[in-house]
Amino acid sequence: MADPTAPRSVRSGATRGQDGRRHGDPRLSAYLVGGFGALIAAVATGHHELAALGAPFLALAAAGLVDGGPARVVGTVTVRADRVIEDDLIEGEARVDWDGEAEVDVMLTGWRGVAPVDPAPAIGWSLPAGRGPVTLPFRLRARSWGVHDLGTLWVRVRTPGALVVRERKLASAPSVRVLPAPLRLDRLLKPAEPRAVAGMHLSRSRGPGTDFAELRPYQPGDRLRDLSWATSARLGEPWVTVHHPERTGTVLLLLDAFFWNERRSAEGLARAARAAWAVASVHLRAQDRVGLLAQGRTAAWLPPQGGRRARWLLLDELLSVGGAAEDRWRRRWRDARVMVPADALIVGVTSLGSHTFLRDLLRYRRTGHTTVALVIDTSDLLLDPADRVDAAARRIRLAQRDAERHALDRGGVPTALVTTSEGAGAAISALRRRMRRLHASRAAAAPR
Amino acid sequence: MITWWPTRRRLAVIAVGTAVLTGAAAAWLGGAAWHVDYAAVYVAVALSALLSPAAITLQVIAGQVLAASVLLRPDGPAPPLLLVPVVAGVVLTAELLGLVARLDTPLRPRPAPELPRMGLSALIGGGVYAAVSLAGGLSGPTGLLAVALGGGACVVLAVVLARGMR
Repeated sequence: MADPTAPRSVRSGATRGQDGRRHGDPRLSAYLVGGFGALIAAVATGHHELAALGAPFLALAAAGLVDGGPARVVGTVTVRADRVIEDDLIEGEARVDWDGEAEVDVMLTGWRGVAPVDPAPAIGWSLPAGRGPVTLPFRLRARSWGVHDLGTLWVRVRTPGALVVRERKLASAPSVRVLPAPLRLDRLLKPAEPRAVAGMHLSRSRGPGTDFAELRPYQPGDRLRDLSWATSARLGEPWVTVHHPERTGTVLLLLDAFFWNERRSAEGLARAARAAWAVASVHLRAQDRVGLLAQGRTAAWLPPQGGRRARWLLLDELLSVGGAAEDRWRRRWRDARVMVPADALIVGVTSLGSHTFLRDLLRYRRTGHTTVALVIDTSDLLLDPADRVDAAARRIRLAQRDAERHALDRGGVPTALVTTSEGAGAAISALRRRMRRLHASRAAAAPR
Repeated sequence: MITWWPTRRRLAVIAVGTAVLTGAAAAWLGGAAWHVDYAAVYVAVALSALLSPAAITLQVIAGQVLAASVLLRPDGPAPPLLLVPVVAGVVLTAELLGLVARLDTPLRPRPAPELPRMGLSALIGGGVYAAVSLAGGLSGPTGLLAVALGGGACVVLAVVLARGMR
């Protein structure tokens, strides 16, 4: 079994000319134009003195073109850990080697979801003329959750004094899985219809279990082990103890993955995913079956299942959604048909940016699913108003969010706001209270 | 994004100073008021090359025009060897401007022994100019042949010197 803490690396197969680009220093064109221009002027005007003015520049251009740089440049990028949590530091190093003496600029470009810490603001080094190999340590901070590529290692090489620079791609850096920061959550939502598998939710039905339900007179077919000897002796006839069976529920997380190509929108999605992961984790620990359906610019579908495997699969899907949020070119399409179990509690996790998502939640409710919504508060991500028009736009956006929440409430989908200050726990408690009130009012309204 | 690292700022100041000295030397050698105007244009072009590396070509051409205006002045040509510092100054300014352009990078530059190499470039520029000017001083076809041979020899010498510095 591979050591999970061992460094992972990708070695390049770069050879001379592979993926290489040559470009001239700005002085090269200046010297060539100056040199040949002076020669042409000398011939045109008949003044040989002008040829003497061009000769130095042609000599310098020739001297600068004589050597194209080292033939062999190789490099690797390694990171110490490929699984980190949001805001963790990622330590790694780039190792570059080349033939002969050269001035080398090394750069790691194209990274996503991380921010350079050292060196900063770019992950790159400008090395003075010298010989390889060199080892260049770097530190990044995991900025947002998801599976992120750490980019590509590029070098720019030139022989000292040369007027030609060669750029070459050396290696692809490994990818890193940034796990969502844990949210404190110790409350469960009550699944719609618990299933007959060992779990933590108490069912209204009775059967084998450990939680006491009631005592009743013995009936033919009852197990002898259920006899309550003390009660039977006191009442003079056989009575049995009846228990609540321990059962699990099914929870389907419906993640609103509609977002735009901007930082604030991606942060809104990240908050939604953190809340979804918190809800999923606590329900999986309670032996519930949890599924995930992400809808929007990126898609994910994971049928409800329980256990450790489900936890990893769910996290994997969430990380893929996070990676798609950071990479505007990466689109994921759902290729499997979504089968929502009839007994599933549907938990929408949304920042209410999409009418489509709102319609979907109401549709699930209309088709008989117990549906609730955790509304992620992203009001702090709105830009500070610069003028009255901005302030009005902000008020309209917040009013629109409230109106959409009311629309959900009226449609039978209780909502609760997940704020950055109070977290998901308070929202879950609020949802539980609202679900209880809703069930009570439905029971009262039902015909007797 | 333009990054002005401290090293880059220092080199930019040295480049502008070199351009001003070169222009002043050429204006002094020229002696006329319009030589001062030419020198001012040369310095302005050198300043613009701090912001746009493409303007280094204009700086070299402006330097050549400035030197040519002194060399071919209406009141009689100046001795070519007097212009060696001007040509060396134009080369040194171009080298410094090239380095300033190269340091426009988000990568923190490390100190490098660039200045001796630039000094060598200026030496090559001035030396080649002096050698070719002396060869061109010979009259008739011999002079033309001497210019061609001298120029070729200087190119080879420059290559050998540049390789020796690496």
